[in-house]
Amino acid sequence: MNSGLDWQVIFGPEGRHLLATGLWVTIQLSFYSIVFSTVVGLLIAMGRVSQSAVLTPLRAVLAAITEIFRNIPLLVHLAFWNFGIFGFAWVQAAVHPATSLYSLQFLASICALVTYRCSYVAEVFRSGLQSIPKGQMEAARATGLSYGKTMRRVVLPQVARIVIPPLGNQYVGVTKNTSVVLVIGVKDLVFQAYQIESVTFQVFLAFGSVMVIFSAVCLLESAALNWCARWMDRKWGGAIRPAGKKQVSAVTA
Amino acid sequence: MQLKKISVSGGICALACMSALFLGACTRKEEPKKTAQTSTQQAHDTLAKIKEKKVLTVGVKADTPPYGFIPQGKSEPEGFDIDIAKQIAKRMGVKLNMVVVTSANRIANLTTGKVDMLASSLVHTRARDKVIDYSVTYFADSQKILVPEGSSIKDLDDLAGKTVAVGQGSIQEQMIKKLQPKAKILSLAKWSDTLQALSTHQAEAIFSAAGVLGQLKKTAAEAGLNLKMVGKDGLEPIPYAIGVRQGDAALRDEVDFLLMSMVDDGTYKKIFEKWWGEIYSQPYKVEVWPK
Amino acid sequence: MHAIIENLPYMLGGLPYTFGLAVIGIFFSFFAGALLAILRLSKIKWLHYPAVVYIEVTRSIPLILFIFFVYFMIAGMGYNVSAFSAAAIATVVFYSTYIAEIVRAGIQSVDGGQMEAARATGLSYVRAMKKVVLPQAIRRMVPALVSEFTIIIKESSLAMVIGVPEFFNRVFITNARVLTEPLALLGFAALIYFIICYVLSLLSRRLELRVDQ
Repeated sequence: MNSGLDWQVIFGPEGRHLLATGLWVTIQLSFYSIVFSTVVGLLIAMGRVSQSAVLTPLRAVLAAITEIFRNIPLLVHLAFWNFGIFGFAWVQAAVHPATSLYSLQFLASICALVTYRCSYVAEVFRSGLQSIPKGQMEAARATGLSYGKTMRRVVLPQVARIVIPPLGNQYVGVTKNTSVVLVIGVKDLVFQAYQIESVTFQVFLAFGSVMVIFSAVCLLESAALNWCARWMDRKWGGAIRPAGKKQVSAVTA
Repeated sequence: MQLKKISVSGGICALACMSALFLGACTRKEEPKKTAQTSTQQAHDTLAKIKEKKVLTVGVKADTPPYGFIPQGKSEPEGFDIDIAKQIAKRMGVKLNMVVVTSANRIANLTTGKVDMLASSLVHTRARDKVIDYSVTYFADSQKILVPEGSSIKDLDDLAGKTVAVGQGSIQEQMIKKLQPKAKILSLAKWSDTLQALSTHQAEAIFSAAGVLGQLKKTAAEAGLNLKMVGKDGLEPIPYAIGVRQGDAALRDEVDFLLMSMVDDGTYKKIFEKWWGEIYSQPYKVEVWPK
Repeated sequence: MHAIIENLPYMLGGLPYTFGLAVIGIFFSFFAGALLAILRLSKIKWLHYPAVVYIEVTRSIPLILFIFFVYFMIAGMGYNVSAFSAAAIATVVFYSTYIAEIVRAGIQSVDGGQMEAARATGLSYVRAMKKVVLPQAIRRMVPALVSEFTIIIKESSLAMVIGVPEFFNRVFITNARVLTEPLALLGFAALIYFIICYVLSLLSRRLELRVDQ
């Protein structure tokens, strides 16, 4: 629309309200997805790294699952959860208590974001766990610590230090991934941008402002995570770090 | 290093915003004059140009049944708007050239002169009338509610607390918020997605214009899902009109007169019944002025 | 199952669009990315910092925003841009920053001694780059580029939001028409993407092994 830029559409009370609600939904989505994908990813990684012969079929299953999930686009995950799984009456009944707080689509989005991201997170944890020399575990067990205590006090703190930078990358990836949920009707930031544009036709302002907001959010997020990594370094410094190799993958989707 | 990066990025963003503000201020002063100038310039010539070149270029939709769509197995768009456009061209005595447009680019196509007029499911709104001009309303679609066959929903009041599916960015999305603030709104990308929501019980109703709902009902029936249209008649009719450039008085008058002549000799009734006969029993009363 | 078989030609007919987006994306992104990488590696401050800022900011913005922005801006200016072209432009602009990182890593991974030795034999900087460093750098970049290609194939599904008739959009449309078999149709989409991306990732891994020799 060639009537010039009307800054009121984003700075006026309506625009600000829409953008603020959208931002809040995006933040909530990112938070839940980050937390759950970390938990699921860690579990998968621990499963894959385990040595016991008993768990071999589990390892094979986990390897297959991670390989399958990472080769499927996020939108397919999203549609699968929303129209496939959450289309069943029994699933809708099962999650009914949660729907008073969050819509069905919001829940489906979290599931999809987690299944999409968990394989990458699992890979990060797996290489982190495998980079701890076996000697650590042996020595700790030799001094009498149980498996659980060893993991908690010796192995995982070292893993945490190694793993935070690439995990940080993954977390920022999750935040960016939340932008696709408007396809199933979740009212996130991108949805609000589309709303503002469809009513006012101000394409540059509507989408431009959301691009700026997203950029700010993600840059702040990586700055915060980087700070976390450095704090860990200072607290638990001196442990193994894979020498020379670039830890942060340039290839994050 | 990261903090430095942030401040540098922040600085660049702020710079970008300020330059956009500058540009915006400048653009606002120049552009309206320029568009109005080119618009009216082109507008003065349009009808004469059409008569001279013997071609009428009309922007039509190819993705919005029943206004303009490409039927299965065919390659040319057909529809209500297209039949109207064909009649207008025929009565002008010129050839019709159809250009497929989308909701995103139809206004720009008109203002930049790529098409002479728009017959593209164009809703007449006050906001848009500041940018382009409209013929008389040749159709008004009222809003209805589409629900599963066994549903107990009969009217807007029954929608309180229920999830209603609408299309993102549609007029109905704004409408339903005002008409039934207690309804929970599910906004999906396309109207066809709302059927998916209905069939997976994520929505209990679809709120839209009768034309859109008629198409959805047909699609659902083919899939074995039986739906029914409820709600009182004549709810919040949306006016559709032919779009012409701002100030294009000669062409607008001609289109108005031709539309009225179509009503006079019964052609409009025939076209109306062909496309809307299943939903509306009476043709729309186009405003006809005495001669 | 029935729905899949009936609509198979229609759905698979979207794959050319998917591959088209990915091929055009990777091809043009490579040149744009190489340019960005050179700017980023440059010692000249006013070339280096804008490149850094551009790369960092662009990588913080999701692709879907670029797609909407490019499409609506160009269409709003009156041009009859097809959804496919707009998606292609957005893809190139977006991925050039990721390719820039790959190119940068590729060039920097070539041992500095190569450049020194080449210059010592009398080759100019440009010729040394062209004949000695770049061929080695490109060989090392190929696995990462194939990997990036796989990612673009997956992300091409985003183009459905502006109506590009690519594979996933067609599956989605078919599902909206058939309504009764969402799991089958979406499972089919997942299967096709898995086959394509898994094969490509195997190729990438095989290339990586060969490069390491």
